Amino acid sequence: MSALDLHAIRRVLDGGIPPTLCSVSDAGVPHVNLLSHVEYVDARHVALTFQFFNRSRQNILATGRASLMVEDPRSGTSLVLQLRYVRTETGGPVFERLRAKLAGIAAHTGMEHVFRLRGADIYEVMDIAAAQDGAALATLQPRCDLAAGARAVSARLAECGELALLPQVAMDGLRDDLAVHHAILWLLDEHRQSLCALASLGYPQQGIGAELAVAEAGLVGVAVREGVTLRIGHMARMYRYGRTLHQIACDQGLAEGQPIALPGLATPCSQVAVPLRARGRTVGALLVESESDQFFGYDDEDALAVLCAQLAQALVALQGAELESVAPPLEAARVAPRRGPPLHLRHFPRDGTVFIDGQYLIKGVAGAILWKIASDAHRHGRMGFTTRELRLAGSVLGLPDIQDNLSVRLLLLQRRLADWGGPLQIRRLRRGCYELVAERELELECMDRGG
Amino acid sequence: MPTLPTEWRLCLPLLPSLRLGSCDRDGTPRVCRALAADVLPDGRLLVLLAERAAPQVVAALRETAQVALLATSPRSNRTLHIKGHDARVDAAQPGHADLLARRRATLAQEIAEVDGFADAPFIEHWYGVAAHELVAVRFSIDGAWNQTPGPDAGQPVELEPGP
Repeated sequence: MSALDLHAIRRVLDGGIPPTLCSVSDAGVPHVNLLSHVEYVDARHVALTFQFFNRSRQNILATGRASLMVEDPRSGTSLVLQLRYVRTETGGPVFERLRAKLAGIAAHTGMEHVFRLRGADIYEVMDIAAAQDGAALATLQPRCDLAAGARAVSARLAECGELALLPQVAMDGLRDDLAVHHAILWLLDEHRQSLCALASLGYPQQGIGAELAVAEAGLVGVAVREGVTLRIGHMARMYRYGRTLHQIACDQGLAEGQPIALPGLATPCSQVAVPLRARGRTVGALLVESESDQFFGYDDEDALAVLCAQLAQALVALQGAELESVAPPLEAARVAPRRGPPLHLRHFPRDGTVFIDGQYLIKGVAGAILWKIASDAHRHGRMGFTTRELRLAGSVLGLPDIQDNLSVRLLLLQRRLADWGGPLQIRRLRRGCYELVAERELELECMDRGG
Repeated sequence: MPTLPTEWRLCLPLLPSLRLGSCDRDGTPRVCRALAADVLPDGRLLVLLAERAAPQVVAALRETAQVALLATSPRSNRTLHIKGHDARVDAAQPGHADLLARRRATLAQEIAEVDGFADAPFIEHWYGVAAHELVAVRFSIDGAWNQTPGPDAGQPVELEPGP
């Protein structure tokens, strides 16, 4: 490896100026072609897209050698990398990263019908040379001080001792310290393979509780499926949300009332999707986006990946603390004065969906929790409840692995009700101890499996 | 001596973004940015390079005479690939300054249209070359291919007999 460091030059690999690959046949005949971009793999390797069985590929398979020129769009400085072909990958994290970026570039250049990724060719970088004497890479002006910003957000996450505060601490940190203007924090429902918005930043509607199938969740869905951070710098139709929530509700025959509008930019040009992984499992994902091309770089990926690992650990640890806390028995909650007609809750047990006065509210584990505590309040007049009793009622709720994510689903429900702003809310009394606050009488209707 | 057909000869000035590849004696590929290209009256191709930007490419051309030129339009993505095996490298002549200025203007205009910024700093970095640093590469055309992205990418261009 030369004195120039691959890590230090990785921002030039993004393809502001299309990189150039030169290969040579066995007979010594050179062949030159342009690339959409080069993917940094690690400090010694890059990956290139394998899209076509062309002369370039024949040469590389024959000789194992290639020369790659990348140019800095800020200064024009040319760097030439000498490459040794190692292998081709047809799946996995690097392949998915390349596929995401290729889709973005294809959409940006109107070539979606041309680009198709067959594989990710992995190369070892044997040498890097600046082609022009005396020329230095232009100093990159970062959007913000990412290291200092990440440190500040990390410190606040570390200080946060309440699960209920964690999503807002994360969103505030992204906005205030990392200059991110649009973000969505998604929770993963592994059983249903769906994502549910727990918090958002920068959209007209927060969209808390909005849900998407992982398979239809665009870039963030791929990031969750592959457990890998993905970044694109151009508009990618392939990675937009596949369908709206309303369409999904219609398909499932649940189109009563209006669904929750999905948060998100209508025309995102840059996105980073980071899976939230803790203890070997994916628990959710963070999506940040911008309407500007190439808004995020490799350094953003690194900063967000570190913070998301910490956020995922904190989510898991704090929801465990909620469950483990021993809450004293609740006194009989006082019933607040109730005015107006009854509040009508309709429940679909098949997927936990709850509508309130004909308006879709939530589904899944969060919906099942709401139905249980509303039923207890309606039948027994008991408004208080603990996470502990919800955990014990897991079989009643009829959903698997409920203890794994009960507290965070309860938080989702609490935030969804707050975002809805209606006369039914959940108030946290102390750790593990909550109260259902209903300003109107409850009227319950269960649409059982035959209904 | 075969040369480019009229259509591509007329098109070449409109493909201002240029890359030149060659190969060392030991088979190492070499690549650099080229600054201008034109078809000479005898049917050969002329390419201008800044030697300080590409000393290894110039050395490879002198060693093996193998050459490949990729000419593309950032605006239309139209791309032509031309190869030869008898490249000769000489000092550029004063008359080449005019060709250099015309190709620079075309590239700057396309970059401004495509990327939305005029006077891109890298244009000056590439083209701000002292006359004595400029070299002229001349070669006979062995073959040419239409490399415009799409279904016809890689189709050979039928060469015409030269003058």
